[in-house]
Amino acid sequence: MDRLLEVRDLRVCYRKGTEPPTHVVDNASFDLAAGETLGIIGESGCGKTSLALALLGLLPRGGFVQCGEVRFKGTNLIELHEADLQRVRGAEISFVHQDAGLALNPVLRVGDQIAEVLIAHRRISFRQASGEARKILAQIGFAGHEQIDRAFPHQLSGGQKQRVAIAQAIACGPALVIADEPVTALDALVQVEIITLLKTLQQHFHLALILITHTPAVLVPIAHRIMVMYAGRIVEQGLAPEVLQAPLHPYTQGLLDSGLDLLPQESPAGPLSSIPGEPPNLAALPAGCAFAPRCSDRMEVCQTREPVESHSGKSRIVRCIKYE
Amino acid sequence: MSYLARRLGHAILVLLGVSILTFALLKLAPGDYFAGMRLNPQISPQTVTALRHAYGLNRSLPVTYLRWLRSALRGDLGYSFAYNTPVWPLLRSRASNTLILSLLAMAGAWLVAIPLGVWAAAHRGASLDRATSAGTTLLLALPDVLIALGLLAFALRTGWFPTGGMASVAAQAMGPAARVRDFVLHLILPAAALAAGVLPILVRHVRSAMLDVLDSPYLLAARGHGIPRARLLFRHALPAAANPLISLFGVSLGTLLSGSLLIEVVMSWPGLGPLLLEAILERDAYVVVAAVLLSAVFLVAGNFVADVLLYAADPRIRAE
Repeated sequence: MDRLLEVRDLRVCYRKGTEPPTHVVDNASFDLAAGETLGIIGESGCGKTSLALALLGLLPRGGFVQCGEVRFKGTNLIELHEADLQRVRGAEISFVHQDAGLALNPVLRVGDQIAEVLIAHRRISFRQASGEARKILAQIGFAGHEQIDRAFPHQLSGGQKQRVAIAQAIACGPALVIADEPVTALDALVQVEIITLLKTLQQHFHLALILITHTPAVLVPIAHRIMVMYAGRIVEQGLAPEVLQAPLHPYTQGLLDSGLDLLPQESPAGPLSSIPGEPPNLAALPAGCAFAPRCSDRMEVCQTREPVESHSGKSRIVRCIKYE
Repeated sequence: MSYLARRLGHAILVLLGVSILTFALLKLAPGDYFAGMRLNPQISPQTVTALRHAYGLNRSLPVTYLRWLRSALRGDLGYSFAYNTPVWPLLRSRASNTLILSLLAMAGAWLVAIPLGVWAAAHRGASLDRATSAGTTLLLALPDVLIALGLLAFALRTGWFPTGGMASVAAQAMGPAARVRDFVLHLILPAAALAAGVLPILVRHVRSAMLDVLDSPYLLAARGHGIPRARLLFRHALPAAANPLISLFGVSLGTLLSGSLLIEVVMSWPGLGPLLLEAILERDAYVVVAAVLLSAVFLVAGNFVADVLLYAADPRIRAE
């Protein structure tokens, strides 16, 4: 398998005023092959969105990559200038944002918003781009919706908006799509539709897909590999069936306890996550393992020493003292 | 349709209110146009009384107002004591001078403010942005009169521009091209002074409207799609930032007639400003009422234009 994306020792920081920078992602290393779907899972605030934004140099003000490499087709994106990155974004690697209701421009017609992406990356007239946009919309589940390209975002449902956002992302035929919580804002039924759509597109275009979520159930039908993040660290990664069926890290075990059904037969009575406590403040991480305060298998050594990665099997990596 | 009717009714109420208020304030202030004559020993008190009687100044406020209102509805806005002519022709020529000046100043100010504000927002916190912000603060802090006086001093020193009026004394003898040139030269300084007064406000509004949009998720998303920077700013961000700017544009349309009064007086532009100032000082009541009313018409019309533009620009408003 050829490697499309190689991330090595990536550290993402945020600086606020004169305080020392907070590490929101630390020591992140992973690979992605062409056509492969990688699920990234973790609670909100664990650094998964920052990781995704850092890959494309889209971090908000104050955010920066302190060290590490992001090699895409052999080029280190971290070293690219903004003008070169702009040619990669949308054309080679594209992004689907958390809430399409917020990620679409409220005053532009959706067809034009797709055409804009095409115009940005191809020598193409506005008229041609609009025609292309209509074709993409028809492909992506709007067949029979004549004139959908003339609609404004507020006239569409949440699921329709997310489809438009996906259409924008695939318009230029990228090799990699990064989808950040693409279904979180949607109803359960629409979630299934969108995940199915992503899977179809992924197979049809041989897309590599990075799917970020905090509900493990979303990953079940689609992910080839899964990466679990906690407090800015990758705590476990491996093939999807292995991680889902036999989680090693106590945090992964806790996450999966909250269920793998996207459409639960009955709504869960208790809190969604069965892990007690709150995710730690990244600006003031405890000594030792960051998960130790919430861990059911905590040992004395966990509170004093940080765990290191240990490999088990071919592609299984876990960061927990239990397995060292 | 019902919207238009509502707007129209609203406008009529505003104009009625403005006229009543102007009338009442003029009446409440001590004295009238003929008051000064009483100090003149050559004019007998009987003559003054007779004049006041002839012009109807002895009647009570409601009666005067209703009589004025009746004739105003027929298109007659009354008579100027000082100029001894009907008010409307006098007002019309002065108002058109003011309009030429204000329109040019406003167009210039917006044409500079939009690129400057967008550019400052795009470079937030950089030295260029801070320089713009310092510049606008300075302009904002300077009184308009001082800017006008500065420009006048500049004109005198360099001799590049005439100072005052709209035409040279010799303009009558000039050919058409030379006359236009002469007029434009007279127009530039007052227009610059007027534009300098509103420019900082416009720049700041453009900048802050753009900043709100530049931080929005949809702009981040557009950047993530690799939209080039200039297109991102002007095609994606500016239309989304337009709403507050359109409202501001409506307000600035509304102040077209009244915004330039001071500059006109200082730079002796023969517009509404000097006329209104004299009329107030001399208690030339019907000129004052008509001028204030005309300004109010512009204010109402400006807001209406802004509403129409908002409706055209924002699909979310159309949907309501």
